[in-house]
Amino acid sequence: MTLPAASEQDLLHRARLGDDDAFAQLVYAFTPRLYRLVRRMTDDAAEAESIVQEAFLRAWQALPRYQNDRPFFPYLVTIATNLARDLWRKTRRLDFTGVEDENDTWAGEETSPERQLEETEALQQLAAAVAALPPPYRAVIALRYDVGLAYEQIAAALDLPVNTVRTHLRRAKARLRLALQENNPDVF
Amino acid sequence: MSSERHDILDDWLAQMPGELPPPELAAKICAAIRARRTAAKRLNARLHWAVSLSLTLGGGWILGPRLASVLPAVNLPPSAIPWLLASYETLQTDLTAWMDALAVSLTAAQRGLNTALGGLAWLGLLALGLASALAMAQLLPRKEM
Repeated sequence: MTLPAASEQDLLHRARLGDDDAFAQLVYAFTPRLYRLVRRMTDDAAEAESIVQEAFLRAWQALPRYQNDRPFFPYLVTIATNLARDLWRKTRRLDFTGVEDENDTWAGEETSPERQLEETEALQQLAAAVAALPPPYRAVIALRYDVGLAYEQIAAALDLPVNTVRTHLRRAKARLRLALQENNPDVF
Repeated sequence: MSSERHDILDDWLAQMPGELPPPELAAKICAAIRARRTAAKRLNARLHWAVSLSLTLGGGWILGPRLASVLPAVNLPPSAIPWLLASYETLQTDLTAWMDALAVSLTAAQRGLNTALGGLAWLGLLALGLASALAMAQLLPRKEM
């Protein structure tokens, strides 16, 4: 469920005045998308749930300082990404060892557009392959493809240089190609 | 989507299935927000009362000696209602000694303070005024959205 921009701004305005029902509508509207993103970045569902909940709570607490003309979802994404990053740091999962030094080669990008795969199965394989990526790669993939952020926005959300984001994305995709190659040799 | 080459993997990634949140998650978040608001309101009310009480005590302490000296000089007219007269009599007879003792000690302190800070009585009045305003603000019903 998405909200029209005008309705979103009206709800935000009302929420800032203390209307909890208005904020609840925003929660119901954005929880599925935010959860989908956070779940992609985290290892288990409970972790994702707690990050989503905390992101909304922080957004609610920061409402008096929130600029009403900004879209709300990217703001939530930034908070949730920061929380996920903090969690990785605490659990030492934001370890770039072996990520930065990785050999930057991967299988060729030849595609066969006419090839029709059993879509559902292939996409499930892809989701599993993404889940097996290291957290920094997973985060970049999630922000890029689940939310549709630009490189600059991803860089800001993850507090990384834009070039690092590009590199992460390229390497993540290389790993995914390798993972998918076995079952889809004609595609990758 | 970007300046980089777009391939079939980009399409797949964009279509990748995502996990749905547990059905009760949004309700849980809303409940947590309501709980936080209630806790914040309770804390706010406690702070209000604490400040109001402190101001009352402070203002009363500052104004006490003056009131004690004014009280015996008050002469209620005979037309005052009987219970008010009786109460006043009781107050005057029973409490005068206590008030006098209190007044002596407080006045001594007051004199010292008054010498140091001119217009302390106004400060006391201001404190009492603020205290009553805070208390009233807490007591009056507020419009909730």
